[in-house]
Amino acid sequence: MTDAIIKVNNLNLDFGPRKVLDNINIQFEQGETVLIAGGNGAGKSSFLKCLAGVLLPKSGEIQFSKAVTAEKIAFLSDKMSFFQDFTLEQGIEFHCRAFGVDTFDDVLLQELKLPRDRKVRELSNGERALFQLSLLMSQKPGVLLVDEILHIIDPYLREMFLYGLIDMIDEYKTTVITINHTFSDIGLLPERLLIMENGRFVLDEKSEDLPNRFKKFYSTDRVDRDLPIIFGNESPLAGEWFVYPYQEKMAGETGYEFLDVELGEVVKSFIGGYYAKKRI
Amino acid sequence: MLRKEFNEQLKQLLYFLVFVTAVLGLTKLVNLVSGTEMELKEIFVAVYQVGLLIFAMVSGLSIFSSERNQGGLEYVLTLPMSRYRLLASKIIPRLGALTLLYLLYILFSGLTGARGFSGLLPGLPSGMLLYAVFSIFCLALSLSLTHENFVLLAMVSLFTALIHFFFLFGFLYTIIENGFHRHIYYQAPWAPMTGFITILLPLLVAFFSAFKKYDISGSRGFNTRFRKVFVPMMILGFVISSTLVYSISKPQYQRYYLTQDNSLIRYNHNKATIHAGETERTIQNGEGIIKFIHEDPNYFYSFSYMTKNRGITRIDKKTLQEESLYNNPDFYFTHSSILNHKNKLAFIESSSGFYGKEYLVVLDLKTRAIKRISLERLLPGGYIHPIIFGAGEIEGKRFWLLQSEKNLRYPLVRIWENEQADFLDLSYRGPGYYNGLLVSADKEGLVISKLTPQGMETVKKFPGTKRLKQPYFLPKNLDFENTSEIYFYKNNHLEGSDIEIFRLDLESLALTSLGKWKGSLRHIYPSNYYLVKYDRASKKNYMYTTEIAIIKEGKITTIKTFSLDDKMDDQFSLSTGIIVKNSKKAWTYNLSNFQEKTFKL
Repeated sequence: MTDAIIKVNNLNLDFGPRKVLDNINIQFEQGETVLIAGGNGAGKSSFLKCLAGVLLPKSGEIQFSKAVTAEKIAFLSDKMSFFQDFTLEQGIEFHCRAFGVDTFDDVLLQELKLPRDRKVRELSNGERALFQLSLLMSQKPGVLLVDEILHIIDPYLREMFLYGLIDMIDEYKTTVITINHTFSDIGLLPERLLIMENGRFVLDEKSEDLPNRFKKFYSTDRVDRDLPIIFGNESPLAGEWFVYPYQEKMAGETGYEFLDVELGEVVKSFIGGYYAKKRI
Repeated sequence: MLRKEFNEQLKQLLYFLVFVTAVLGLTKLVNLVSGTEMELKEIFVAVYQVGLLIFAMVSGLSIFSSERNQGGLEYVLTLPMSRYRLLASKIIPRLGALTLLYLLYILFSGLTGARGFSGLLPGLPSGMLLYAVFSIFCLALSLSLTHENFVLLAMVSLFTALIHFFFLFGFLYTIIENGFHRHIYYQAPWAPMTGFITILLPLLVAFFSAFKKYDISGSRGFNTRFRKVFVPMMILGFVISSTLVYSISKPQYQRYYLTQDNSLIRYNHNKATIHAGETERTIQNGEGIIKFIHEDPNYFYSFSYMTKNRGITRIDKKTLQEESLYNNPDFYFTHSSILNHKNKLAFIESSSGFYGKEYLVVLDLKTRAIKRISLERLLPGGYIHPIIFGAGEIEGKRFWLLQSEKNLRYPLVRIWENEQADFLDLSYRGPGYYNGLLVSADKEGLVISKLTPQGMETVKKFPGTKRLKQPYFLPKNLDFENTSEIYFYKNNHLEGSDIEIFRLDLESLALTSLGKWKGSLRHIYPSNYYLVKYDRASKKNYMYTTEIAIIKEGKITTIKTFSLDDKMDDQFSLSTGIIVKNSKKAWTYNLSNFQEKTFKL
C-alpha cells in the first residue's frame, strides 16, 4: 500500500445546531480516483470544501503529504466560483500569480476557440468548467477536488472535461476526488466509491471489489430480513432488493439469484435506503 | 491578490473623485443658473468630508462583497494563503486609498483654507476627521461579516459609529461626574479613549479573532465566535475605560487660577469659587465653561464658550460681583486668543454655520463699546485659525496684529481700527510683537522688523536660528512698550527635557544663549521672566516644582527652592504662581509679588 496523500482524522463540522460531518476518518492515496456520492445534504460538498480549505472544520485535522503544498491543491466548486468580471486573460494572470504557476497550457481554450479578452461571466457553463479546469491543470495539482458540475455541461464538453481530467491523472499522478450523480459518463473512471449519509461514509469500496460486494436480486415474495438489504422496492410484480455486503454463501442459503449491479444503481440504492429509513 | 485589490481600490478612488468633482460642477451650475454664490471650495470640502466618511464605511463593509457578488468567495478561500494574509491583502489597499484621499483633503483644505463641516464645529481638534474616517472604517470592517445584507449592515455601522462617537465625546465621563453634559469634551480631551476601549477595540479584536476561522458557512458561525470575544471584551472595556476616566478626570476636574493679588479661584465648567482673603464667593454659570483669561488691578475676566452665555464676564476684585461685558449666543466659539491692549479687550469669534465666518471683536472696557470687524475680506484667502498676537499704536492709530495659518506658514496681518488691513509677512514660525518690533521668521531664522505706517522694515536677521521657539502666544496683555528684553527657548517643555534659553535685547538687538535649563520658561506681564524646575513626586505621581529662578538682563538668580510636602496631593504650576494642595487646603506662592499664602478649601 502506498503512503496516504491525504489523511483525515476525526473531522467534525457543524452548521449551527446541525452536524454536517460526523467524526470522519479516512485516507486517500496518490493517483487515486475517488467518487463520492450520497443524498442531498449528506455532507459530500462540505467534506470536499473542508479538503479544499473553503470550509474550516469544527474539530479534527486534514493532513496532506509534504509533496502536496497549498499551491498543489485544486478545487472546482459546483458554483464554478471565480471572478466573473475578469477576462480570461486577467483570470489566467491572476491564477498563475496566486498559485505560482510559470506557464499556462491553453490547449483546452484553443480547442474551444475562446478569445482571451472575453469575460468569465460571458462563458457558458461548459466553457467555464473547461476554462477553470485548464487553470487548475496549470497548477500541476497533487489533489484535484471536483464538486458536482458534470451534470450541467453538455455531452460534448463533458467528454472534453473528462479527457482533460484523465490527462491530468496520467501526467501528474493527481488524486482526483469528485462528487457526481450522473454516472453514465464517469462509470469507468473511479477506482474507489465513497457513499455518504448523515455526515459519515457508509460505503468505501474499490471499484474492482464492488461487483463482488454489492448484489441485487428480484423477488415478489416476502424477503428474508436477515439479509443485509440496503434498499428494497417492494413491488408485487417485480420486487427489487439490493444487498451489501454480499457473501457468496447467501445465494445457497436463500436460493435467490444475485445479480451484478451498476455503479449508478449502487448509489441510487444507498440514497433510496436513506430516504426509506427517514420515512420510518 | 494584493495587486487585484489595489487595482480595485484605485478604481473606487477615481469614482469617488469623479463624484465630488461632479458635485462641484453641479454647484457651479446652480450658481450660474440661480445667481447664488455658494462658495465652491467650501462645498467641495464639505462634500469631500462627508464622502470620505461614507467611502470609509463602504470600504470597510465591502471587504468581501465583490467576491460574494461575483460568486468568487470559494475560489478566494482556496488561494494558497492564510486567512490573515488574505485579510491583510484586503485591508492594506483600502487603508492606502483612505490615506491617499485624506492626504488630498489635507492638501486641498490647507491650500484653500476651506473647512467645510469643520466650520460648524470649530472646537474640534484638527485630527478629528482623520480619527472619524479610520474609526468608521474599522467599525464597518468589524461588522462586515456579521450579516449578508449590506443595507442593514450600513445602518448598524452608522448606529455603532454614533454610539462610539457618543462615548468619544466623553459621555461616560459626564455620567460619572455630573450627569449628562454636552460640553465635556473641552474638559476631558483624553475622553476619546472611552469610545475606543469600550467599542472600537472590542469590535476589532472580536473581528480578527473570529476571522481566524472565516469560511463560506455564512455569518452564523462567524457571529458565534464574534460574540464570544466581543461581549466580554466590551464589558471589560467598559470597566477599564470607566476606571481610567474616573481616575484621570477626578484630579483634573477642578482647575485653579492664582490672581496677581493673591486670590485663589477654583473653577470647573459651570462653577467658580473665588477665595480672596477671608471672603469667598461662588459664581454659577449654568452650563458654560469658565476660563480665566486676564486681570487688571481692579478686575479679573473670564470667558465662556459653547454655552448660552458665550462671552466675557468681569469680576470685581473687591466685591467679587460678576458683570457680563459681552454676550453673543449666536456665535459658536470664542477663541482663546483674547488679549487686552490699553483697556481694549480683543478676541476672535466664529459664527456657527457652514462657512464659520470669523470676526475680530474689540470691547472697550471703559465705555463698553463693541466693534466687530469681519475677517473674511481682511485676511489672505485660505487662512485658518486666526490668532491675535500683538497690538500697538502708530501715529495715534491703534492696530491689532493677527497671525493665521496657511500652507503651514503664518500670514501676518495688521488690522487697523478703521477696518483697513495690511499684509505684513509670511512667517515660518509663530510671531511676536514687542515694543514696536515684530519678531517673525524666514527660512533661515528669526527676523526683527519695525512696523511703519505703510508696512514693515527689516531691522535685523538672525540666520541659523530657525529652530528657536518664539513666544507663540503672548500672555495676558499687550502693553509691551516698556519691555527691553525678551526670552525664547529651544526644545520642548517636555518632562525631563532640557530647554536652551535665549535672550533678545530689544535695544541692541543682540541675541545671546543663557545655556540649558531642565524645566520651563514663564513670563509674567510686562517683563518678568522665570525659570521653573520640576521633579516627579514618585509616590503621588504628580510633578512638583523644586526651584524658581528669575531672569533679568541675562542673569539667572534662584529665588525660591521647594521640597516635596508629603501632606499635599497635587500641584499646579501656573504662569502666575505655584499652587500646592490637598483636599483641605491650598498653599500658594505668587510669582508677581513672591508672597506665600494658605487657603482653606
